[in-house]
Amino acid sequence: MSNRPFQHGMTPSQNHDEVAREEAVRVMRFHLYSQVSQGTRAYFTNVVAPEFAKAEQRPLTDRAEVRRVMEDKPYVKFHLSLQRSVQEVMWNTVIENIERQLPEMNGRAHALDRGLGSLSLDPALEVPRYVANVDIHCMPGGYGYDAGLDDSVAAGAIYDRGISMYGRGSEGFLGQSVIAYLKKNFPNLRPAKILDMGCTIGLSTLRYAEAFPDAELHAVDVAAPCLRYGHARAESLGRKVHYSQQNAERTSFADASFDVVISTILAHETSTQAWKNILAESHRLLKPGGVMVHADLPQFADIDVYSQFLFGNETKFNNEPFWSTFRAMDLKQAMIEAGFASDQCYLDIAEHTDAQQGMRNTKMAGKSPTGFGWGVQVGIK
Amino acid sequence: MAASPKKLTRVARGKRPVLFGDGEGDMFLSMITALTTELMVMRDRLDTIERVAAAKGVILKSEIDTFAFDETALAERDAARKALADRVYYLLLQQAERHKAAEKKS
Repeated sequence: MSNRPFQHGMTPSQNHDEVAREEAVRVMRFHLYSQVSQGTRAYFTNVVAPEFAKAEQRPLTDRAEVRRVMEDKPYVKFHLSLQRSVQEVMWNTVIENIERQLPEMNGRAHALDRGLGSLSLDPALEVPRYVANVDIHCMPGGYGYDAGLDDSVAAGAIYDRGISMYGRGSEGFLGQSVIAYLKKNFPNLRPAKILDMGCTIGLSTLRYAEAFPDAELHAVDVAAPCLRYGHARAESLGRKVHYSQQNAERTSFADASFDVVISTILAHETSTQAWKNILAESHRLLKPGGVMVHADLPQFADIDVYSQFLFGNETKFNNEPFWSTFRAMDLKQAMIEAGFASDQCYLDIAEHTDAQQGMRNTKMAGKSPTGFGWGVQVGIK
Repeated sequence: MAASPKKLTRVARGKRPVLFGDGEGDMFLSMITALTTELMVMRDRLDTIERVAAAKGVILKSEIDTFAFDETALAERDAARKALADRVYYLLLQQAERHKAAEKKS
């Protein structure tokens, strides 16, 4: 249908009502994250926080305390319960559509391979527990879900349609922020080889292919269904990417292989030790002078206490077990331990791009010129 | 008849948070959420039909009131109604799936 956003070779077939259902969920999400969410913030700022300050003779400054005073309020309960339901309805909508055509899509992925890039899978790879045992974002079956079929693209197909409901033009939006950040802060960067870690289906990866057309682009992930889907998607769009099934904590690439090592929203889906391993692996893989940029949601220290509370809920409500721990982690120290010189690594904010206007709901505490952005861990070898 | 497609799981692993009582309120809200999206879909469909018909210069109202459905059409409508109920009562179906999985283990 003409009202469908961005399409490519792996886009599933959708009838009128399937398109309408996705559009409905997209609107429900937007309504929740704008209207309803703004109501919760206003309730906190205008009612709950002043009442607390009056009763206790001190301001509310701790996210655990915010949780205690907020969690039994009916409006907050409706907000959080609705957030969970909308997320579930989103996945149900996607799964119902993919379910009726998955075998055809598995076959299509094969047919789309025209040898532009490559796909290297490793069935013996031990998938780390932080991926294998958790259905992150409440996506049924998780990143490795194959629905019991051979050569399956199940999780990749489900994930792609889910992301499309985050907003129009949302595919690879985080990669766009990273590119804008790199071009602004490293204007002379002409990478010959780039590695994208934890690429899932390569939404951001393809943005790097567009932004750095002369670079040899590699992308790794542990989930085979996502890589199969991402490879087919890239081939259908004429983008040359070398996908391989590897754990970013320890890849098979030689030392000093890359000019740029990137990840987007990978960190908060790992674990403390895994993230330390990935930083060390990033350092090992960089050529001298190479740049590491890992983008994720901002650290708790960079957002106000209400946003800390709101995002802290993701741990419990959206199956993000490492979310809060990661956002309180000392990342500067972790980068130094990974091998980066202390004056060659830092935390920064990468601005949101225009495509993210409708999605943002984090109020930063003044570190970003526009007030919004992604937290980036930057290291130069 | 074509073979029915392989069922994909609808259940995300991990405990579902409870906001209201023993979860009854959460279940009602989940149904309302699904129902609201279905109403939007239905509204879209009617809107599409009206616009397609109007573009062809067809006045639909009198025809709708007198239309005779054949058996195939009636069966299709029943299937669509069932699919709608599955979507609206998805959380009950999830629990049923969990209960069934628990039965297998014991």
